Amino acid sequence: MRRALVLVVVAVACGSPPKAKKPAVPSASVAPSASAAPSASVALDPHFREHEPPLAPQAAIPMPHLRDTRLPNGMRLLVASTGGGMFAMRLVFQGPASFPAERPAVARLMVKSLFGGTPSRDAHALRRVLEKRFAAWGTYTTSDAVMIDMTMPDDDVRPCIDVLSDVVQHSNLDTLTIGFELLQLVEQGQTARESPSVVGQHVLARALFGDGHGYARPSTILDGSGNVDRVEVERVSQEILDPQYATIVLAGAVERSVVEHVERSFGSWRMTSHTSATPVTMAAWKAAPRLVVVDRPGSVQSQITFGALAPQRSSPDFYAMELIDQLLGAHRTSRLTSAIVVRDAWSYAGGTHYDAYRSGGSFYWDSSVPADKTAAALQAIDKAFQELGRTPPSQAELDGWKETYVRHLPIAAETARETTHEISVIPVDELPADTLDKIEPSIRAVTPEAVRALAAARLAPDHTRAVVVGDWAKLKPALKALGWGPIEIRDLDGKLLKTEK
Amino acid sequence: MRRLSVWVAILVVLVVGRARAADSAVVETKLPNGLRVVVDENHRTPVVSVTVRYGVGAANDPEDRNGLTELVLRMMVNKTEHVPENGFDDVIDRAGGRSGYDTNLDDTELYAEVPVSAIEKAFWLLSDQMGHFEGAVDDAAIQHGVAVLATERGQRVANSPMGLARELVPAELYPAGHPYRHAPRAGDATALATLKPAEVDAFFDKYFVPSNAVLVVSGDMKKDDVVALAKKWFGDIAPGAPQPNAFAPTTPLAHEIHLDIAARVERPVVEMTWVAPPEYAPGDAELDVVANVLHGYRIARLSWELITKLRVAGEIDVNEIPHRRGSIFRIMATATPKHTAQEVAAAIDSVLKLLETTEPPDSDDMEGSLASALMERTLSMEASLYRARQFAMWSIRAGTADYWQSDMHRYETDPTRVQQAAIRYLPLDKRVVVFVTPSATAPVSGQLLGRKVK
Repeated sequence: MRRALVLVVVAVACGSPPKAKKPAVPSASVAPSASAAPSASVALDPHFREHEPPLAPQAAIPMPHLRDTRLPNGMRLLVASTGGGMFAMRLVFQGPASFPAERPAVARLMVKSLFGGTPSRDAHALRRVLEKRFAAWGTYTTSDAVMIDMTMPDDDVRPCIDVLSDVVQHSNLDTLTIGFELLQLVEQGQTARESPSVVGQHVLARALFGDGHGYARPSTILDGSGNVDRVEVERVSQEILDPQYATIVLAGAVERSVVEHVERSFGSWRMTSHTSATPVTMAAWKAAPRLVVVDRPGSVQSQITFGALAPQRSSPDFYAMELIDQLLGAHRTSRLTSAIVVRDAWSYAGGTHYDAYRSGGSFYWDSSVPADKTAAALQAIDKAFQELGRTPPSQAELDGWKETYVRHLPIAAETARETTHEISVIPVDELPADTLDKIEPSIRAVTPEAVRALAAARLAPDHTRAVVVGDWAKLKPALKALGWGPIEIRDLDGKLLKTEK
Repeated sequence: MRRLSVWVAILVVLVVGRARAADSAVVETKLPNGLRVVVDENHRTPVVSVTVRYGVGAANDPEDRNGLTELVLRMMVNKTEHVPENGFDDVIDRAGGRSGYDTNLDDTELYAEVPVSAIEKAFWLLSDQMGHFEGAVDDAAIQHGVAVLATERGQRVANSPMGLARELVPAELYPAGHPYRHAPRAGDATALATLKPAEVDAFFDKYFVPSNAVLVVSGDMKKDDVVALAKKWFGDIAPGAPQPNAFAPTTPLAHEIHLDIAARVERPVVEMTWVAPPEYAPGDAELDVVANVLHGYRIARLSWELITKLRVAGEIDVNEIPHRRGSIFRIMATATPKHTAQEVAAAIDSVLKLLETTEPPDSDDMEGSLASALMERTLSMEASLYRARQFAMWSIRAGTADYWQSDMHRYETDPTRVQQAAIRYLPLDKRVVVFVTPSATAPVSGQLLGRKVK
């Protein structure tokens, strides 16, 4: 046996960690960073393993330097030359929430159909251009933005820029492509109902923002039978794919000649939209039953999605809310996660999420727990929310999470693709161009009292709602015993079925 | 013989060229205790990723202790002799990094991506897990780990509409005695409830040892510094006995087996599975290409036939899941309204028959599928964590971290070889086919209605 069992016994009996079985091999202390130029060599402490090693000195947090320009047609260019051998671009448009007359899933369908061909190249030819340059591409739709991403080695990016320019200006949006994408969208929306987590998040969004609000309308599920014709897709494309509402973000190895090529490729693009994007209205809190149950008979676990309306991305409170997220559940060591996931083992993948949008936001806990722990978990979450509203975190606890947040910034933007994601919050959430530079000072400026005050305002019992996807018959006694008032029973789509007193 | 198109040849050459350039930066060495140390210097950002991968997975679990590897992993993450409870995540979180762990049928991995200033913290944590685990093993720790696994299993299996199907298929696919046959039932609390610390220690001592592991560091570090850190933190850990790569032979099924399941699915589902060659063995890359020929892009064969032309399926998933002791080739599709899983299965069979008889892949198929198979994984190598994990996997599974070029060269195949792989490994009369029918009254995870051997 590699290590003697007796060592374990001694450790348990004495309540202190045993020493390493063998002495450490002496070696010079090392310089742990090529770029951070850490400590010089020192003699090795024979008990080095018993203590957590200190952090080496860290250089200033590098944030990408942005160049912000506009083409005559109104399209914005945000360029971060971060080097490396990769090139990434993200084209950002206004999202479906800005077009309340349209069905959001049609925007998703439209952007997924763009690569079906243009008058000059069919789908195969488009694909071949991109594949020859190792370009990966994808489309994404959120409430606030429609986005197209491309990432590739920096060897020969111009043909890929031309493809992107071609599809957003001239896509055929042919019926065959639309039919292919539509069938998958509808069916994916249907099978998503099998996921308690997806259902819980959707129903909570409806409960918080209100039915029909731009942030409560799913972009993954088409209403009704999924009947969409090419005319509707074409109309949505003309509304959304408009240079005056477009921003292209470039990152990685971006040479000046590449920027010039982007300017030429997109410079002749003319406005097509006759519909102005409409600002999304801020959701106002409305009193409603606090507890919502989506009945899923036979469930051995309950999905809990428990949260509140939260500040929009541009709010001065955004950074305090980010720290509330860190404190409560963004990590396994956050307050709630370390209790529910780590200590009690009621869930293996739970946590909090802060979704900050352009005109609002939501903050919520999301996890699956054994059915018999549902009520206890709800109480624990509620208690943690209220506790933070009553008592500010200690300065040390808050400072720890600030460090975590700030130190993570280079990791969040390690690759060219990640860098475009980080930068794209500027157009998506209509933020100042120096937003990335403000992150660190803004986080550091948050006080414990600001955190408490925000938690008190946002996470108080009369401002939070909890959605439980589970077996109502099994859960009913324990949930009623919580004394949280009437309980709404809704179906998998969030439609109200009845209210239990 | 059908030839590769010029374009496909160029594609592979380009990918291999990129791989060669990246491989040249990878340095592999070995400590006296047998621990392989791989360094991948990349100074673009002040970030470094550290991973330790062990050659042990669910296939190594004793048959009456399903989930033992995963339990040990959970316990290693939770606490070790010098690292307090929840310390692995806590230390990495506070440093601004991200940590993770993963186990599968064949191997187990713990990793961290941190700002370079926190590199030594990662070494502290990962070395304490390897060399100082047993001091933290007691009955309470075991029972806590078992509870975590039970919760996980409750969510992934008992509360999931496809849970039963996932558990039944491996038992049909692999012969008695094959280590994958029982592995998917990991987390079954009844199998682990009676575990004692001595049994956990013995299992740990056998598999979680330097001679059965690799340490990979990728990112903003110099090679000599990494090796010095490895000696400091891992050098005093006793080597353990190397574990032979005793792979059970892959036996193809002799029959076609049908399982009929009723479950709380929204749409009828059909899932077909075959036993495929082990990862990196001849035929493995060809079947990866077959998966992409079938569903790697919009006009791939199954996508075109089932979604665009017949409109019988709304979702399709085709993949070759690589394992060391026999991979799995899997086709899954959901039926659209008014269509049955059997209709979808018949449509899939007609596509497979054509592929295996009169319509081998053409150059369009090859180009599209090779691009799908190779591009994303090539682009992902920009991220240090992906690189570290990939090099670790190659080191454990292929025997060397310096394997990128070799891995890419495997895809220098041609339409004939791809068709031959489909004929040989995807016979329509030797496979497991699961039909899942929606039922509002069935248990959430499903109920077996019938089993037929054809």
